[in-house]
Amino acid sequence: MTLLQVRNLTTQFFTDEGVVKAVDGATFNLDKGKTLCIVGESGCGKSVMSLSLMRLIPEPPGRIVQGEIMFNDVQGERDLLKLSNEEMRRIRGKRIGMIFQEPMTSLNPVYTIGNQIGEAIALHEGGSNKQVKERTIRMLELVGIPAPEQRMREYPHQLSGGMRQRAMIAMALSCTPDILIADEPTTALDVTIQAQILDLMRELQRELGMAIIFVTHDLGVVAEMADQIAVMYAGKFVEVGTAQQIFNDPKHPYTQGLLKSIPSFEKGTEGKRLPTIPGVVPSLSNLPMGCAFADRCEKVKDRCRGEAVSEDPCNVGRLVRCFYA
Amino acid sequence: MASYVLKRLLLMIPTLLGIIVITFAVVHLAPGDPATLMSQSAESSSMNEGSAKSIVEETKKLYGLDKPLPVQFLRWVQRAVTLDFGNSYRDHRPVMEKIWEALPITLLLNIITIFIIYIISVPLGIYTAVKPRGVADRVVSVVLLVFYSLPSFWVAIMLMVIFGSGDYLNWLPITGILSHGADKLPWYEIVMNISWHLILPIVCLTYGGFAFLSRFTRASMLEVIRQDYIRTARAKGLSEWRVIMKHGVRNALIPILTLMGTLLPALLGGSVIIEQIFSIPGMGRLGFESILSRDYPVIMAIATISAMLTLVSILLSDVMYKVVDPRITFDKREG
Repeated sequence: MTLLQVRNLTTQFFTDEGVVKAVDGATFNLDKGKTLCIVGESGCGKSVMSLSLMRLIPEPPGRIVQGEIMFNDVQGERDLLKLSNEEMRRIRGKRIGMIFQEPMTSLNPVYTIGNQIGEAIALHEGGSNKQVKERTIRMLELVGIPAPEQRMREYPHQLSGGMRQRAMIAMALSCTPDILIADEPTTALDVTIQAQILDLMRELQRELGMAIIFVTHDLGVVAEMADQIAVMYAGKFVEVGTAQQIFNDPKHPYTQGLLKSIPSFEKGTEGKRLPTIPGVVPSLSNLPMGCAFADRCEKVKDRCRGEAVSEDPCNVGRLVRCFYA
Repeated sequence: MASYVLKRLLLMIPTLLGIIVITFAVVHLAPGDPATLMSQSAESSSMNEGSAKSIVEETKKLYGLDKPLPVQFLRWVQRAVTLDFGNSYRDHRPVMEKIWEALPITLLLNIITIFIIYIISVPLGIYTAVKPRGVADRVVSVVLLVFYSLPSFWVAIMLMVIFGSGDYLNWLPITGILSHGADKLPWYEIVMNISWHLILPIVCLTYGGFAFLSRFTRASMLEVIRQDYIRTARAKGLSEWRVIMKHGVRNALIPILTLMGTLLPALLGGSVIIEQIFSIPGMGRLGFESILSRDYPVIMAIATISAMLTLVSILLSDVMYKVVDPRITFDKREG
């Protein structure tokens, strides 16, 4: 069942330097209980994308200028962009939970973990103080925090980075949302903790059946998590496909470049330089008319610079924004 | 926590001693002494030089000013530890009595002033921070800047001329804190009478304070609003009001609270200018007049009490930090 249908989502920032097209016509579907990974370099618009889905873009300077986000749950299908602020607040935290990159700064330093998790429960589910507390403890247990009754009385600074991210996950999942948006949740953690958190998220996904939108720049993480992958470049999706399609049969030169630049331990690669994609991401406020990747692309031809690229010009059968895929 | 407070209290003793030594030295080494000042005022009543000199000598002997400074100092400390600050040189009344008369007036004036400044500035700062660079923010900042720039002595005189002189309006009293003979009225009328007298001085004391505190709150709040945990609070589905009031304000108040620590000594000091202009017999006026007439016992008593309160208030604001910010601990770090 399709839970979320995003069509032509466009978020722009109106700054003194001009209009920044942070997300430019994003289109994708998310199925119930599946994981979509949005991959891209820093500054390609991934985070703005995830905040747009929650309608948390700071306004001004930002604004979602067009598109629709059709959300389909037990209450039927509706466009999140057409909801009132009040209705949208009932979606946030309740139907869509979100976790962020930096678990230290994402938790309020002056309130206890229990207070911050219980707050979401009390807001969306109601119930007596005792019920809220019991549920908070259950959530902390669920995310594998030992001694939850004691931990819920502690402040964020008393927890380790991994524990904080677990607490964030407990908070985001406390009202059993249909979708969990995770904006680089493991970037600030060291590798062993990273693996634990990813395991935890997969486990919770099996248990609670929520869909995950996982935003990351780490292709290793993507390989572990993704059912679907959307590769983002300069505010646009350049290639969308299943994990299998993207990893085994990448069509877009940018996707191919990304995959080539993963360090490999295979024989014959020792002592060789790791391939990279030359050049830098163009400024989002001054994008070229044609393909934004043209300046860094090996296969670039004149047509790439002069003409806007449609979603699938080569008829691959999925979104591959390239004339020569 | 208790051991920390105790340690800090013990550390206050040497600090206080240092302050007292310096104050004592500065006051006594300043040119002019009470005895000479007294004889000068008596000089006009045609006295020959010899008798004037002997009066000076005798006065000095009477007050113990003929002794070497260290001896004077020790004698003063000896009495001060029992909270006996001696008698005023000017009217020979006990110093503590004079301070007890002036202190409640100044405290009343300043507590009301600070309360009004906080109750208006903090919400104003939060409001302007929530919608920065909007019309309201700009208007508020211009108005407050204008207020801040007006010198209080000028405003005091203008207010007196407009509201109290009878030239334009004769609405408000302009001197003292109680009408003549009003002490025989029932208590509620006395309260009314005092409030009546306090309106103009309090206006003069408050208007300049809004600018600083509201800009301070605004800056603190702006800093907090762009923190990640505010975004988390919004992602939870909380209303904007809850996000700002619960998750924003509590954090923004931490730096504002430290400012509170500096208030206690200011509360006691009083405003020399405003008390002088409105003839309010408070601490500011008492201190000012004592310094002019080299009334050493009064000056020393005020300085000592202020120093003590300053030290206590610094400690208090440190303890307050711990109360509002759970990240701060006074215990030794673990590990």
